[in-house]
Amino acid sequence: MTLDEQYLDLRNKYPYLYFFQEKDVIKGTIFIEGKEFQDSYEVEIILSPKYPQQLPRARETELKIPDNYHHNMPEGTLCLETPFTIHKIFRQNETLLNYVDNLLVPFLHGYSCYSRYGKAPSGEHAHGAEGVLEDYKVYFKVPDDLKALRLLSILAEDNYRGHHLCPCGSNNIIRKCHGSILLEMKTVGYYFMQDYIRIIDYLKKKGVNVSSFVSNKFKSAVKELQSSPNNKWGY
Amino acid sequence: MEMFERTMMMANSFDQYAEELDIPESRYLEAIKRYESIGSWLSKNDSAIAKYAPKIYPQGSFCLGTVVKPINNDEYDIDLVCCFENLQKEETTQGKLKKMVGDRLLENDVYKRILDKEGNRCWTLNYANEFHLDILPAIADNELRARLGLYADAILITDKEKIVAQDQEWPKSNPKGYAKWFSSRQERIFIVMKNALAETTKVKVDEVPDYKIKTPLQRVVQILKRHRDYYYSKKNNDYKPISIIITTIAAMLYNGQNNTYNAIHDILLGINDNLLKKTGVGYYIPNPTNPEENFADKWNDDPKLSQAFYEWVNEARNAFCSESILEKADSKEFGKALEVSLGMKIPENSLGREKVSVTMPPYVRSNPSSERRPWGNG
Repeated sequence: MTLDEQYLDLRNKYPYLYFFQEKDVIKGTIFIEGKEFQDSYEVEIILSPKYPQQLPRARETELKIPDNYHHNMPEGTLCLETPFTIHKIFRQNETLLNYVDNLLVPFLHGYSCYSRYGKAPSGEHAHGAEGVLEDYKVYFKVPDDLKALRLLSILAEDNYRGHHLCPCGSNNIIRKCHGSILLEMKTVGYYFMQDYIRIIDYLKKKGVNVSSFVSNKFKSAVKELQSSPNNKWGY
Repeated sequence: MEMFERTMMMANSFDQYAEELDIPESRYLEAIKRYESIGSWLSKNDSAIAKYAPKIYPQGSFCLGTVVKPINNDEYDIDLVCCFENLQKEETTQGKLKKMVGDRLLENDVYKRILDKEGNRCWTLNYANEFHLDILPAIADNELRARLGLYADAILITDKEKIVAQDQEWPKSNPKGYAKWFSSRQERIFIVMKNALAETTKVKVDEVPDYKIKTPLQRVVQILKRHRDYYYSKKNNDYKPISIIITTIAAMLYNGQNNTYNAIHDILLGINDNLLKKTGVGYYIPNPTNPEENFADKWNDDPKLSQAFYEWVNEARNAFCSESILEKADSKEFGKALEVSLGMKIPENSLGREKVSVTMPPYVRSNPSSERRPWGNG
């Protein structure tokens, strides 16, 4: 679908969003309706010249949502979900409508609930690496930090071997255990290394011994990230 | 001001300007009376052409509800068809048909006085300070009519150049079909607005005359035509985009938007070569009631025409869709910006017709099954 077609689709459902092509930005009002409330938000959706390879970013321009409620600092865009989940949802259908329907609106709805009842309907992720790690524990359905990290390392290091023992400790081979989950996550085409580095850094600071995770690939990725932190990090 | 309120404010300003461009209601009703009496004059018993059952009906902008007041001039152009329903192509020629209509008009003292010299396809009656009525002699196009639907009222018309030419093929036209297509593009909003107007004026829906409704699509066409007229009043007219192209593209791109601002924004930004070009043909804007007719035929012979069209579109985008327009502080500032791009002022106390509002903010019900949890990188 061309960007123009995507925009027309978006406008059918959200008539007060305007596309400023010269600036690659969509601005306007989103009206949402929950069970017991109606709310509106002034938003700005920023498209990169590399859209859709690079994901849109969203800002709330009325500053109704305070800085301490899930913003990416310092640029102030909204943290709609963990980076991997955002990718996963967007890659299922790379359209503006999907982005707004399934990422931006649920976020705004969450804040409307939070500001009224003190909590978002599905809860919130912890900030930073902790929230990312939690999210992977949910995806992998494992309660243990290190088990989740070992499973993530397969994605980050890109070394899936179906006949190896599954790192979750089930004594099954991967193919018969976490294989399908891992392969499905792999198809998203996400750069898992960035999350992996962050989580390792976080656990290390917590005093966990993570030396077994430090591979050559890991080291070069850290170096690359330090030299150009905005390139792939891109939260 | 919130974006929603701003949109309503801008849509309202656009509507006010379009209202000012429109033919006033009294003049509209006057024109109908005028052409109806022409109709009865043509079909009166003592008329030599009464046996052919001439029917007179409006076509073009008067029929579509997209009339625009001409620049520096108070005389509206109103286009009429005079179709001889009972005359077959085989029984006559283009020259004879044209002459029969002209002769009958000359038999009337009033019409004789105000009849202009013969046009290429029409006879024109000049009602000074009111309007010109262009009367287009026509007969039924029975071949096309057999296809029914949009073709049920297809006609054959005359052309002065064809009358003397070797090739005497009749030019085809289908103004009623085009009008049906145009109204199909705005059917839903039209019904909604008609009901809303009936409710606010407390009358039955059937009692609301259609001409009282002006949909966002009609408003957009009026605004764009005026913008074109004004833009070209300052420069060479040769490449001025024709009204039928503007009207057709606007109707193609109109997508049921419930206010004039959204509609003009989407229509102007929706114009591009993907829409207007066809492989193997070049520019292709088909007549929706006759795909063999390409309104953009001439664009493929002279690239200056398409260039001029895009130049004008860009000008209109700057005037109506740019960010600086969206950021105007209030209706006064916005009105001033429109004043500049349309070259007209609207009287401050202009009341306009009954306002119909169908512009509730659309709330999107958030889907509870889409469980998302916000996160932060800090």
